[in-house]
Amino acid sequence: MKRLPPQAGEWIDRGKPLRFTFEGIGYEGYAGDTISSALLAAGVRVLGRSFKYHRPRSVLSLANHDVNALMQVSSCFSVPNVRADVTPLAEGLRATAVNTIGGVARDRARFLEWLAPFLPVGFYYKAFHKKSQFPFWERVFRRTTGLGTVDFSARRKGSPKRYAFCDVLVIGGGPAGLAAADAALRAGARVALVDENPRLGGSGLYNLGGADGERQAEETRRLAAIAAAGAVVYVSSYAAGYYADHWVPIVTPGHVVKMRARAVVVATGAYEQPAVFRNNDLPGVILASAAQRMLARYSIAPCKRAVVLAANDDGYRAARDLAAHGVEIAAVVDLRGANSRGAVPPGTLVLEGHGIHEALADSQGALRGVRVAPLARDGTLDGYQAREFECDGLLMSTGWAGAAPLLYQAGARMEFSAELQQFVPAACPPGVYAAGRVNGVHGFAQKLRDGAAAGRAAAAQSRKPGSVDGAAPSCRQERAQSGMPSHPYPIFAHPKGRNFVDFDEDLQLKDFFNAAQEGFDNIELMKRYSTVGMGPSQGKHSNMNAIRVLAKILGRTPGEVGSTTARPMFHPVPMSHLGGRGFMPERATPLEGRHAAASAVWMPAGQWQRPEYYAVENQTREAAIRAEVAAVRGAVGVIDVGTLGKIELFGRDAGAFFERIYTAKFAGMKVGSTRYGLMLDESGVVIDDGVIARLGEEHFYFTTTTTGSATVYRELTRLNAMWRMEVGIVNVTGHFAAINLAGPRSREVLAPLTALDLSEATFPYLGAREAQVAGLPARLLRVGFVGELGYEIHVPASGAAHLWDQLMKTGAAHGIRPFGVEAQRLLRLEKGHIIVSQDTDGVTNALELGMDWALKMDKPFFVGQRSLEAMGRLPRKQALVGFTLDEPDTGMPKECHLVIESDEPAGRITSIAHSPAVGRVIGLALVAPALSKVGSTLNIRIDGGRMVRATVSETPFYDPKNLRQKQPETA
Amino acid sequence: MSETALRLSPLYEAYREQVADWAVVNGMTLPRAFGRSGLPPVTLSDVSALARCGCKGPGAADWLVSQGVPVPAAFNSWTATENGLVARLAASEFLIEDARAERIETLTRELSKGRRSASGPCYPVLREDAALLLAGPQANEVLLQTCNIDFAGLDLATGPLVMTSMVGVSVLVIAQKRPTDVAYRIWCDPTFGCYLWRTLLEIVRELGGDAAVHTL
Repeated sequence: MKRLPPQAGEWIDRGKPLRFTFEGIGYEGYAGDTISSALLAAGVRVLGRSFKYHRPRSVLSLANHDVNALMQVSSCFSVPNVRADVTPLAEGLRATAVNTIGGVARDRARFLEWLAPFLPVGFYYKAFHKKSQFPFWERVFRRTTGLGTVDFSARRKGSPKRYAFCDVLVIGGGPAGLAAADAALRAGARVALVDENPRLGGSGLYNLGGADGERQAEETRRLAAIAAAGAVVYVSSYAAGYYADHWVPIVTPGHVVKMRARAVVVATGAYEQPAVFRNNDLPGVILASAAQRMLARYSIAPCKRAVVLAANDDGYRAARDLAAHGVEIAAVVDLRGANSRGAVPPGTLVLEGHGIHEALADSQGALRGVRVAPLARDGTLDGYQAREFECDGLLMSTGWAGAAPLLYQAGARMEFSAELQQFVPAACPPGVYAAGRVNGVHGFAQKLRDGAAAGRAAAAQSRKPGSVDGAAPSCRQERAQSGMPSHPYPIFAHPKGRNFVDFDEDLQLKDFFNAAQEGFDNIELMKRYSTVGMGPSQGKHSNMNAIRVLAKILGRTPGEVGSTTARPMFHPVPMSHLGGRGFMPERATPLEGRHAAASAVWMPAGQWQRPEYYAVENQTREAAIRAEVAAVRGAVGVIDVGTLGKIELFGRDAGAFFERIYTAKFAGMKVGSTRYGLMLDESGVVIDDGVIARLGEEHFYFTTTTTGSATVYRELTRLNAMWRMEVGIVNVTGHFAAINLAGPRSREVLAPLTALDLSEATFPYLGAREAQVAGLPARLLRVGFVGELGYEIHVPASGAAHLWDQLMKTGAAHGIRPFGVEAQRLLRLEKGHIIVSQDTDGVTNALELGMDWALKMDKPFFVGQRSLEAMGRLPRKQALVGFTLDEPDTGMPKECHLVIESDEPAGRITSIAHSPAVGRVIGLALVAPALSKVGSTLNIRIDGGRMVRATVSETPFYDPKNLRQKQPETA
Repeated sequence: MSETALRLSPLYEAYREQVADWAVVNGMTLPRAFGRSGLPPVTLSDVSALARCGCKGPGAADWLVSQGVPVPAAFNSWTATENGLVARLAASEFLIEDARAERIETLTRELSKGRRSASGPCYPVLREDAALLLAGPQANEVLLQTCNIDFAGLDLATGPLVMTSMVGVSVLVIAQKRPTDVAYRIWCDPTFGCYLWRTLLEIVRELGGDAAVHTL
């Protein structure tokens, strides 16, 4: 191979040489080269080794599918599985072939080919058949096969995610796509155009057919200029999938663009398909379109002397392109019969009705010649009559497979056209249009007309959905003028094999016959058993031939055999792109800064981060929590409870509404009071709890659990819509801050900040008031979750920090201390107060909680009431009980440890902690009813399988008469 | 600065460490400057200090009219007022924002009395939103990286109001046409404010922009 003289339109910049290494040897290429093109221009013929047999391989397509030329590329860190055929060359780039032992030239694993007879199709599965052999074979396979190596030192790349919008998305920047973009632009549509190449034009700029292709190239360039000026163009990018409502992820070099289009034109072209014959994988055996790309884009002559294997007009166009650049044509071998030849340069030998019997390798394993044999009537080759031709290049042009995965994903109905020997869309869903080769239209002029028709239809659809039938635009005439671009069976057996159908996985023709013989004679089963199409190229150069082979085996047509499912992403997408920038919403109360300043140690609570406790220098976590608990019990503590859900209810029916949604009674509830509420679902399961405050005759304010606010709000809104009561519901969770001031000194801390009379007589336990506190409008609730005199103070969120500061200031003289979630958990456990979703689970019903006082079964109705009535007539399945640990020194149980009775699980711990106030380990557990009686023994299995004993106890453990919550001001 | 100001912005913690000079606007502590001069291609500003309130209920529209507040006819739209705006979030829910705190205070006071019009009751809604302003030629690019709405395709003459999800947070967004560009107003629950600010600012800075003070 050699670099040709400079020519118009070449992609390389000869003024910018770039140095790089491959397998440790230095080379030079140009800006605009890919790794493969630079190596080919430097005369390197072998670029990689095959997956299974480690055979020498090189370029096949030069179109993003050369899976046998994958490389490990290093710059600041190492990137595996880089596709050398499309990856731009860069100064200083270091590349090595993947999957070799000792380098591509002397790969020590090449001996594996000798073992081929012992590695039949399905060997992989058969090796794993016996469990005992699994580890052995896993090690063998991991060592001898595989692709590149992941560099774990690579930095995380936070590529952005980006949305984009357009009227018409055209996928494919070849002649059909450009014509579609042009037509859509003329119709006034906002057009986006995507092409995987760095420049627009596609085959319009390389499949020229010699000098007479200049007019075609000129028209392509004109259309490309129009598109570049009028459309949003994504080059070096590909549409990796199609999702409902015309959502298309576009993979650009830097990130994924999520494109929402009103209509989509799929002009993705077609993959040229290899012929199958012995040694069809030798370096030098390439697709004709790959050779044309080398010539036009990189100014590389693919060989000195070529044989062209043709079965369509494209093969002859490639031969003319080669000749125009000075490559000698040894012969054009046409699989078709007489009178099918196309125009060739004068003196070119054309062998009609012939095929390639085998390709011949030189000492390096690259192509040195071919044996050409005549075709018998049954389509086989007569090897005895084969003639040998010396050549260093064999170009295959025997057929195409539409690049149709996006159409499949869009729901297009595909059918097999016997005339074209190609799957083509029979009908597309609304707003999706196919154009060009993927639509079965192969001629240049025909592609332009087909593309323009699709572009016009898409633009009309984007303006007025439904205005254009979703079926593919009429293209029968254009298809008819395409001739038969694909040979029905360019596949030839050879007694010595090595005729590869799938280059990704080294699958030979015989493997398919063997798979069918073993019963895997359905295309989906054959795919999985043989692994055809499961390699890095995902069958782009093997699926169609596999379908033809299976059709032959079964005596059916390819249409009857059908194709496999094409799922998104149909082309590999870098993990960094898929990950993208992470969006993990986090909520913070307005006191976040105050907690941080007080050395809060954070813990997650749903989307929130809450202070678990406040660290103190030279103090352990346990000691810090104990000190916080002591402050609340002995003086005063303050905790941020702003994460609680907060909802307001207005309206004449607000009280009646509460009657229905909570288990308690609200009809007689006085203004200025609060009440505990337990919320159930219709099956009686506890889903939330909170405190309800009546602020006016038609105005309630209530709290929910931290994680329940959105769910409760949604459910109340649903019920309100269903019941049609006069109720207004407002979720103010984030708009109100809430601080719980608790402890025997809390009244003294609060008093200086408000004019409100805080005396027990005026503002008693369970009272609710609205007043100014520290200059802020506040709602105060006398509640006692932690079992002490306390005030839950709710203020507009923007005032929270001010209130906190003022409380800390006035509380300083009383020993005030902030306390975190852990201290709160212990304090409420001492009171036997439950935490919904910790002490209950998704099936715990209200009868099992021992909170009969909260269940007003004599009400006419509340959600879950009927289920409770029904369950009340049945034996209970579990009960929530309090317990104390008998001998704490024998081991400390944890939450979720099991209670065991007669060797069977009989319950589990839901909460447990050492209580300084009680002086023992206390807890709550859901246990079998037989164990729920006070005094019963619970046998708890702890870590390591050891058993400890506990005794069921009365709750609350602390201040059972609630006297501390009602302390008069003189206390 | 005075950290004892009665009100703090919900975004305060997101930029506290980067700000040295503070001012008090509408009783809320806000940055006086972010330290960067010039005109970046995109800026992010905290406008949470604008006074606002909400009302909801079958009688809300009529009640607002009775108070001399212009009411957008269409749902999910907004209209400008002399010193602010009125956004219609649904058939019976409104957001009113005004640079003059006293105007909002008057409305809030009236609402808290439990107002009822001929078409039904009208309830007050506390609005302590985090309010952001995204401006500059690259503002739409920030939205494209964070939100699945085609803001460039909106007909601004109809005053569209968009309720959507931005970086996982529920937001209200309106586009305001200005003499030289389009600015975007964004409101979200105050507890998501810092996360939204930090995430947007990261993208703003990648695009060459920065946080900026917007004079209310």
